[in-house]
Amino acid sequence: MKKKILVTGGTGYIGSHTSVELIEEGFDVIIIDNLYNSEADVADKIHLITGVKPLLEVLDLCTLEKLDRFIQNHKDISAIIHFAAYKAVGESVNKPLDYYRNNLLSLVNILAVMKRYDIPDLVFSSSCTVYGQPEKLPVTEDAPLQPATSPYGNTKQIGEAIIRDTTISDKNINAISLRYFNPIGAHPSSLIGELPRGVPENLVPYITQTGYGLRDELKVFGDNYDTPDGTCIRDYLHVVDLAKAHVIAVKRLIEGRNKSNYEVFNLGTGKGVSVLEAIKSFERVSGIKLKYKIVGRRPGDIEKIWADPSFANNELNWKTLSSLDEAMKTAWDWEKIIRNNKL
Amino acid sequence: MIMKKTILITGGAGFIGSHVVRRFVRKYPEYLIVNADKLTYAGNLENITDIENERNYKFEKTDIVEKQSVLDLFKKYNFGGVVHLAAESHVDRSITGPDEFVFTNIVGTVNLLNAALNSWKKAFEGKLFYHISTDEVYGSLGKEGLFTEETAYDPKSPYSASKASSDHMVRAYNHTFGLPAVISNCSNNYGPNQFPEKLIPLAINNIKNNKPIPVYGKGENIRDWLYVEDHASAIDLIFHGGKVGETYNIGGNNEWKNLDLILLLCRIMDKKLNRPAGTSEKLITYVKDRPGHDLRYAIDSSKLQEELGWSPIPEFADGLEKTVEWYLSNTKWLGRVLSGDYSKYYDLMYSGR
Repeated sequence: MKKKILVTGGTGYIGSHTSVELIEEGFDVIIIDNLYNSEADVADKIHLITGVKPLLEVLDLCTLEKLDRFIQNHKDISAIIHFAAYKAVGESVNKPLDYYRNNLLSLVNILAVMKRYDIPDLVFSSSCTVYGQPEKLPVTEDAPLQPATSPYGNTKQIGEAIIRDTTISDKNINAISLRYFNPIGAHPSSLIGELPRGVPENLVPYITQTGYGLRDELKVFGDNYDTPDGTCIRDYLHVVDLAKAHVIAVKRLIEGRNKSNYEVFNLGTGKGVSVLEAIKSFERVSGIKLKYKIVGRRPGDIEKIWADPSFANNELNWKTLSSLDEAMKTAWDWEKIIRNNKL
Repeated sequence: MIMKKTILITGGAGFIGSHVVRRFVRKYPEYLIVNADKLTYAGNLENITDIENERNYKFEKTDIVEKQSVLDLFKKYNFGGVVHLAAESHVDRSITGPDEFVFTNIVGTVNLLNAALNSWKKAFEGKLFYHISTDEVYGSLGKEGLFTEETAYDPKSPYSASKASSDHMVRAYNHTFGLPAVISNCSNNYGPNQFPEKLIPLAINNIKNNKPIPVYGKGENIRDWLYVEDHASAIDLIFHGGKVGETYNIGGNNEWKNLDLILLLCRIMDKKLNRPAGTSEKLITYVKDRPGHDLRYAIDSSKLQEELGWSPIPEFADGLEKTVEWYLSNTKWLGRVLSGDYSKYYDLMYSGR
């Protein structure tokens, strides 16, 4: 009998890639998404990739009654992977209440139905933003959390705390928070990928859009940081590698191999990459010379951060398989596909 | 990226094979896909020009009837899995010349089975020999009923008899030597890249050129049609999740009388070619029935749907429309296939490499 996994936000960027990997590992996937920042046809794309059609329920997790009614009809859910959240850092500064309400209420409702219907296992999508600018690099899971610099980042910190407190009070609930570094790229089929609305906040979609000619040039925010080439450093991992970590985490919980009922893992490559190095990678895989300009620093940007993924490497037996160039190539292929289809 | 597995796909330049090759090359960058094809009339490397330069793809011109070349191929690559699609597939050709069907479909399959046994030496963990077959091995149905995986084999044409033999050999190697094998039997496929001797592309081409559309007998034979991409997704799922030793039926619950199918196709073509409704229909010409023409095939794929969750995607009219659009916009492909020029592509691309 296939195990049923509920994926919230399953039509989003990381959620859709994780749904694909879950199906390919033989799980029965049901998706809840309010389509606030994604398209329903992503479920069809998942069908095209896997040959299996996931159930898509369009529903807002903030409405507990509706969520409750849905779960009543799916009491056999083994675990939940909770991606659904607003995620734009800049927007969160202007709309903090929207962010707190959406990201926290949805999580509280998910935990409430888990308790009500004895769904024991939760994987939560967290972020390296909880570390702020860490004092020691690479950053390990026990690094102190820094005060968040945006409401978005704060919802991830508070979210982790809500889950931790729930697992302390209720030993029947098992949870894993996965702190992602910077996911990039797209599925190798080029059927799903990142679909940023408007001007992208993240580097790689900005690079690929500029490479395609959609943007005049890339602005590099600051070249006077304390890094080898002066630009900011991040840890970019391929979204498919990231998706696979979720499958491993879910299996760990379902099979009861977790060491405590709340665990936290960093998910990154362990390698820091500067903005200029990312640009060079793009130029290598696309053969295009990218137009960019150094401008002043962007407020709120962290200078440098990369993961120490050894806990996930050893404990989950997971590591990233794709190189920066391989991940970048899928991002570029994806950009070309979505632009061609729209023209 | 480190290649995790090398997979042999036979017949990857053919109609269904090319879709499977493309799917695997695109979707699994961690696999090395080796496409072994003899490039007979039905094998056309132009079907997969879009992936021929991918770093996880290799082409090997191979005749599976030649035992030594099959053994050499396995020695060269040390395959972790085989998806065996290479076969002679056109029933009419099997009636005029059955020998080729015995050689390619039976002897070729046994050569591959022997090479896999020889290469894997009992270290069967993680290995798989996946044999692709047809629902025609089950024979013909009356008006009612469906072929299930339990239906007794009753092949009627030299083509289906040769496929049935190869299925039996695969099962025998699984049973006798423990070779990890799985088989799927699929209904009629349609879609882009199908050789224009088959019903749907033949009809599309004839309608386009105002030539008669030949319909066997009264057009009452019934076939179950599946879009080729759906077959490829089922093959992908079975290769990765099917149980060793099992057989899976693949089909779309999509039965059509040949005549009704042609009428639907005529309506689509009239629309696409901006011809008045009813124009293409007039091209229908009834011809003498094929000897031993099976009345009806219909397949029950509920095992695949329930065990592996598979389902087909396009509605028949949509799939047919996509197919028509593909043939109408790939006139060069069609022209080269019809003139035989495509066979020069291999020489152009691979001679001296």
